[in-house]
Amino acid sequence: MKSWLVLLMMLSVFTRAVADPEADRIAFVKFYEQRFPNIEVAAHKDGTYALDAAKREQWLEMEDFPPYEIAVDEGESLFSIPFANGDRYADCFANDGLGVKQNYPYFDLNQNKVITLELAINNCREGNDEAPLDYLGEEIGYISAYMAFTSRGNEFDIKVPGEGVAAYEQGKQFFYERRGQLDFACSSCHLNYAGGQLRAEVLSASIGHATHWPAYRFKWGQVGGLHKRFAECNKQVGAEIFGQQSRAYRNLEYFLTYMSNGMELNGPANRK
Amino acid sequence: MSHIKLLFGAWSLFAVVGCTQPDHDRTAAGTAETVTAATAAAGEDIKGVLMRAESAYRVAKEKDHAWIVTARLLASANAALTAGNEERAMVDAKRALFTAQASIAQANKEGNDWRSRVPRQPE
Repeated sequence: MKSWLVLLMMLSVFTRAVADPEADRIAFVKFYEQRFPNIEVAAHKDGTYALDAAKREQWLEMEDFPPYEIAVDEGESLFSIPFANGDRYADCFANDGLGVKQNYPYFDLNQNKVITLELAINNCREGNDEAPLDYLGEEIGYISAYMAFTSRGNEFDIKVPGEGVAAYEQGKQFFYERRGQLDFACSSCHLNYAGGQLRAEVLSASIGHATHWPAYRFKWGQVGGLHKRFAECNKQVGAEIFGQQSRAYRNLEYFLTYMSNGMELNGPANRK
Repeated sequence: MSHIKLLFGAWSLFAVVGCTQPDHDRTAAGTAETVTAATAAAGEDIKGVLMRAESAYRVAKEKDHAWIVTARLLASANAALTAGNEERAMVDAKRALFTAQASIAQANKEGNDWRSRVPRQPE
């Protein structure tokens, strides 16, 4: 019995030694520092607009009257409407749900899974006997846009407890794994070819990818979440997509957001 | 002069006969014949190929590595089979099988290869 315990402890230590999220993050940051020596890592929160001066200029002009402004206002109004039982969204979150996005996603020890902000919004609704919102619909985009807006300027502080390492590792594998008919990984475009061009588009760096969601994309004509973008990327390389808030995408978001730890949140944003 | 008329006549006849079967028809017919012959030689029937393709697709899905094109080809093969076009169904089923097998191979290969892409801290 004793020897089994010792073996289990050794195994647990070994697993932790192999999976070291902080070492991963430091190496990730260093990669982009070397790749873009003239761009501060913090500037990557603006995605492709940190890399292309002309596009940045146009983007900044759009920021004068940003298309997500309506979403933030709508979100504020929806956020304050009480549920049928009298409770509110604010009752489900720390600090009444204001300025909390920097802590999402997190690994929930009770549910043994990664909880994103969008999932937490729907969990809140279901916990109050309300129907969950469509993850591709406008309403959840509005609410998360408002919550992101109240979190602007805060810095990501994602934690990976021992129990969350497996989820983190799955997200990491998804990021580096080639998939689809075109045989591309997320890292192919946003790590290896970051700063390069795909037709007229400049490929953004993955560091800072999580800071500005949800985003109003002109091609969508609405505010949408990070998982909608994941699905779009998968489709572009010919891979079958996963469900919104599926385990695969939640774990990917967990990994990606951890890589942006310490970076400033600046969502919602507008993107082409 | 008479031999010029004869040459022109022969060319006209050749041109008319040549035009009766467009290139793409000939290609499609050729492909179908090739597939049918190959299938017959391999002793395969369309339903067997389709079953193998669907089974491989399921494995790719279980491995979270299915490709969009495989589902499209399977749907197209099934539709062609329902319409009674076995040649078309066979072409699409074989392509579906090929892409499903390629996606499984990708999943197996990536099971380890992804690790080589992770940036490492300099020693």
